[in-house]
Amino acid sequence: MSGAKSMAAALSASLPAPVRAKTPQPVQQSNEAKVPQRMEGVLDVEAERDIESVKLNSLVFLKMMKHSTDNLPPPPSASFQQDRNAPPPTALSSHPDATGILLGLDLDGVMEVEDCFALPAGETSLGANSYSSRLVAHLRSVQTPDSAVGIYLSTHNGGFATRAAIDLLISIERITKRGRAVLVIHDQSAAPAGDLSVRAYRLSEGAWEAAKTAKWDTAVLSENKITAANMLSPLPVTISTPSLLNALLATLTAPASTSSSSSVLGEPRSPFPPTFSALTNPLPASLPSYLSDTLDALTLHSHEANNVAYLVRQIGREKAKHEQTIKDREEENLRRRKQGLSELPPVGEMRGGIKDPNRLELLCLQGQVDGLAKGMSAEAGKGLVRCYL
Amino acid sequence: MSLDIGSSAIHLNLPPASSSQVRSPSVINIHPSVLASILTHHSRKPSESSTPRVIGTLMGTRSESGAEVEVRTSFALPHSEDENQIAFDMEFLMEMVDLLNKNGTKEVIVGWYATHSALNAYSAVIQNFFSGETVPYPAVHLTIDTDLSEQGKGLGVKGWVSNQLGLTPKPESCVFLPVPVQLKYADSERAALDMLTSQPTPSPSQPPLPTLAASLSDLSNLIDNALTYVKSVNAGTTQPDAQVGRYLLEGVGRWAGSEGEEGGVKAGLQDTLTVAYLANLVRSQVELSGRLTLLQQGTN
Repeated sequence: MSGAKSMAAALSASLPAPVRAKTPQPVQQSNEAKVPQRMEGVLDVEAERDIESVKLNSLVFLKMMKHSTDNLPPPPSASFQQDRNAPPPTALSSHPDATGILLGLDLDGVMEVEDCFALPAGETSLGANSYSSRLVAHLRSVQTPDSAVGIYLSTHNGGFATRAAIDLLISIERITKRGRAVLVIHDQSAAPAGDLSVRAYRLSEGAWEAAKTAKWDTAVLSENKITAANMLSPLPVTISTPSLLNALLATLTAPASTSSSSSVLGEPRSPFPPTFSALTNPLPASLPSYLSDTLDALTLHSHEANNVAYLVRQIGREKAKHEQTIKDREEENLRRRKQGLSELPPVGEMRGGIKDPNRLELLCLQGQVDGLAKGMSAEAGKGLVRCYL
Repeated sequence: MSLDIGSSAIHLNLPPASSSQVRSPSVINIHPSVLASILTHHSRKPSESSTPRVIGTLMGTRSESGAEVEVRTSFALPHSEDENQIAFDMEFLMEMVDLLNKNGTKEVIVGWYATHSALNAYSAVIQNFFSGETVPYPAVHLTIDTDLSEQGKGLGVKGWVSNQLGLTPKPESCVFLPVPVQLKYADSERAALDMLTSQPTPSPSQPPLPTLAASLSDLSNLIDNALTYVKSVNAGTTQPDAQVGRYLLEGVGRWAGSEGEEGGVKAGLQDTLTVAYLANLVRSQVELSGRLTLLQQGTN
């Protein structure tokens, strides 16, 4: 099979040079990475232009849908902060969230997402030997765009980005060194009502500043004025369908031209008969699930807040101890001066253990509670509309 | 919901004759994302390659007896073919299957696809190889015809299984038997597909009420149609059709029987209002706590 392998290498070598090779010093590397002529005006070399909207390919769309309906194993229980006890197992935290990476390119301020793949639960970085880098290497040999531009997350009942998702986003932005990563959130529970909920976000300015320093403590938060609500800024989303797929879909939905006219009720030819599922009242079933999800999120949030408070108290205790030590040392020195002995050296810097706790998890959980509550009120609102139609 | 132009073949779904429980599949269910992925792969083929088609692997699940095969994922295989030989990257296949098995979905190789409507000797060779991979079940082959021909027969999606033929068991001699192919998707994906097939594609992050309004107007149109039909039959202008009459009778009967719904709506009203109030309360609480954190640090 060595012939086939070198053929695969030849295939990948015939691609236009991957855009990731672009760095902010194009002068030294101009001979290595050549931008195709037609793309030069549009391709944003130094990533100056911020992304303003997201264009999803319908392939990405369908794959996201499919991943959200897969039977996934429950997520591994990960504890981010130094938990004294594990967080209480709630239905929310054991619900698997389908996560994956988006591949594509950003052109002219529009992030075009061409392909995507699913990630195993528990991956939080795109390091050198991670699942995603190996998969991307394989995809590259079949001419798939190989630059990760963001992640997608499939949540339930209006959730929000989890801590793992934000970590992935940040690591993508670090690795690609250009522009910003995009987070696409798909809400799976709106679908039975006949609606579709796909939203795109990116980290807001303040959040990016905090992420660069990798410290999410209170000083950084207040400096950048980050709350759960403005951590992510939304982006408009459009969907583009390549022409082949468009033709296929058109053939699927077109009514059969040769309908047998003997009976008006011939068998439905098209695979997509119209549905009226939006008209049934789902409230008796869906409201309790919203309520329980919100309660679970509140439980997790309060657990995390307890953790943070414990750490803050710990820090306070350490500080007090340290000051006490300094005072003792001072008194000791005073005593020795009086007795004419040599003075002890001053107490050194306080040792570790005084870092302000990382509040990212708290922020994410707050956002989650907010998102769930928003979903709940939207659902209740829809129910009211149905009652009074 | 067949994806191909109708054929006059009948596909029999016999119960297993022997105890070995391995049968060739009688229907193939495909998820729409697989179709999209195959077509995208085809369009990404570099123009200077010599092969007229692209091939790749299909992964999915099988039912107990192997009669129903569900195709959920696909990925492309780099390959090369010319008049003398055909070759593809087997290590690539193994590694991709390994990686895909790690991401939580339990899928196995079920077959392969090609974007060419012709089945030639190379197809037989590859089919033989894949049958070795999917032992003891037979491998499924899917062809998508990407030449958009004028008669509108383009983009036919056909499924095949192979049977050995001939006096000596050579890999190239087998016959491909057609298997019906159906599109299968979960209910929650229905909305997405509706949106993709409506022209022009609207933005996917719409607020929920327009769909409700659209469904209502559709329903009212359908009721109007049924009403005009019934009126015209009564007036004697249209020939009555017994089947239509029976359907209408059933439908109206079912509807009239479910009158207990009124009480349910009113009883739920109080709950709904309470929930809306609570949701607003929670949201303002969360926002306040977020701001208070910032304030606390500012004064520290």
